[in-house]
Amino acid sequence: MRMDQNRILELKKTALEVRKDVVRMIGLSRASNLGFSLSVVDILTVLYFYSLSLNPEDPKWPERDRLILGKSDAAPALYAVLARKGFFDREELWSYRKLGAMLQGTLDARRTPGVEAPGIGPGLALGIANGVAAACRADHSPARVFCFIGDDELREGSIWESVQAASALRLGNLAAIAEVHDREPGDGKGDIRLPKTAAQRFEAFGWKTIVCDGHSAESLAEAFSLCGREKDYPLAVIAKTRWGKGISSLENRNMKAPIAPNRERVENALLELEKEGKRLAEEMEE
Amino acid sequence: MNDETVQPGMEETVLEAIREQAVLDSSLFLLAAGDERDVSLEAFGQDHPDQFLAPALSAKETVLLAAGLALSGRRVLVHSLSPLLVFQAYDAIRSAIAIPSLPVGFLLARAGFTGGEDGTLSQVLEDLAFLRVLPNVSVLVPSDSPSAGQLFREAVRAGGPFFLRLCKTPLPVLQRHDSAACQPGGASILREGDGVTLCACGTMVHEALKASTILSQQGIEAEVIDCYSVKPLPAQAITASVRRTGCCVVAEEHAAAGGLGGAIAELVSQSSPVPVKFVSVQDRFGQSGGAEELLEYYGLSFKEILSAASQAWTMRRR
Repeated sequence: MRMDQNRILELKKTALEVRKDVVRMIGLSRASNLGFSLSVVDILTVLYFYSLSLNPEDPKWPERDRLILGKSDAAPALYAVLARKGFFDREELWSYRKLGAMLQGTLDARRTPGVEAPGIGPGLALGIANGVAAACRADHSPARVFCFIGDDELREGSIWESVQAASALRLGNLAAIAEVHDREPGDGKGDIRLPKTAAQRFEAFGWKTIVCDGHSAESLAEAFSLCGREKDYPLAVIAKTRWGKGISSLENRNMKAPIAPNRERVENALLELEKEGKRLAEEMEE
Repeated sequence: MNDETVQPGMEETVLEAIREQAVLDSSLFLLAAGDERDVSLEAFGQDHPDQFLAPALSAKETVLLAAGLALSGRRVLVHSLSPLLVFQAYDAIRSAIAIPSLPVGFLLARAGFTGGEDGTLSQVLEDLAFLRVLPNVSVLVPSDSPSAGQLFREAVRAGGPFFLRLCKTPLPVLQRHDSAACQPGGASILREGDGVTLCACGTMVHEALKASTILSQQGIEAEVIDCYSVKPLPAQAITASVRRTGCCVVAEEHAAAGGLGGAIAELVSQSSPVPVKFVSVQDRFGQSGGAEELLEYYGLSFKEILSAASQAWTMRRR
């Protein structure tokens, strides 16, 4: 299945707008999770604007596809995508993390329309996704359940318990999207979490796997379309991403010591994204 | 003792209640934790294949699975034969069940000294403290089978997360004057008196009643309150009683810190300060031994309640 070129450009443009909102949100809230959010924007954009079957007017529609976000640092990206998709007013983004806000620092499914599961410690979300997928299957619902797992979560032991549970429960309606950051092989840290190693581990537990480019709409859409194809096998989408994607001063850097962006950094980031937006607009006109 | 007829055990009664509820409510879902095989659970699974899973997962995975099922509209009951579930899965209980306040009930079938000969590790005497501090959660410790069944039904109806701490040894059925069903936040006044308030939960309620008979012979009329709802605490019943008696004893099969005794001390110190004495396993872990022997050895009998009551009575606030 090849994606229409215009559709790809549209998704790119949406992702760019989401990135801008994420930069603004994080700039306003002084959170330090910018790089973590930027790496997942393309994945969430493709899910919400292409792959998932959803109805923002009826967020609890029983047959909707679900996304459960394990990487809590990426909450701003999810909020920005949900707002753009129409689950709630975009104005809510500007009070992210403030007292009484709809958009909490910890995901809260009761407060925020479109959020499917509570925020939880690293390595635990896939266990919840298992339960949701088991319930959807028992309901004979066509719904598919996607669970996003951050790069750092792959080293949590509980993830692999959940991986084993999902294959034991034969959850064919479940996909884990495991993000693996682009790293130099042999840097000591990279060896543990290379796309190939991650895929091999999921395979060893009886999952179907596919490795894709976490910033290419076409590659992601194709990978997501495989979810639900095999009745008894969960799917692992290993998405190669770059930390801080889209902002050159952050991209693939400084993964260890995230810093809260100051006004200047926010301005520069927005300028860079706007420049990219103009370039995209020209491309669309051609 | 009011009535010596021994009824079906608590676990059996609760499983019967689950069977009844499962027919009425198709959203009810029973999850067997751990990999121990249990005949009655398996029988339930055969009758209700769409409402049962025994996935043989770790405690934490089981709790997470329960959360996922609850997020999808199920009322989930987690049956655990392992007394360690609370500790092994605490993080998941807090973040995936208590914070989002999901309708998940835990049936802790091997509480307190039930672990007996298995030794220290299997004797869970600190669970009430761990669970009681979690907002949104009910912590229930029934003292006989009928109250266990009633508490189960009421807690499921209330809808939030709850823990039902069950005693494996069958206990005599208590005579309750109040005809209303036991429910979270409630209490049963089993004996009225104005000499000393005896608060207890689970097995210790029976010991408190024994102690009250002897106290009566000594001229002290004890008021015995079955505090089966450790959280929410039946504040009004306790406060009203200690205002009349001026002193209180709390007995529980639990460590000294953080359990029912802690809860009542927190309450009484604010509402009507009176001396409160504790009968508990104190600041100790268990050891191997028969469950009955251990209760005796660790000072969880009517004798300790008796001496605590005499002490509290001499210090009572008049």
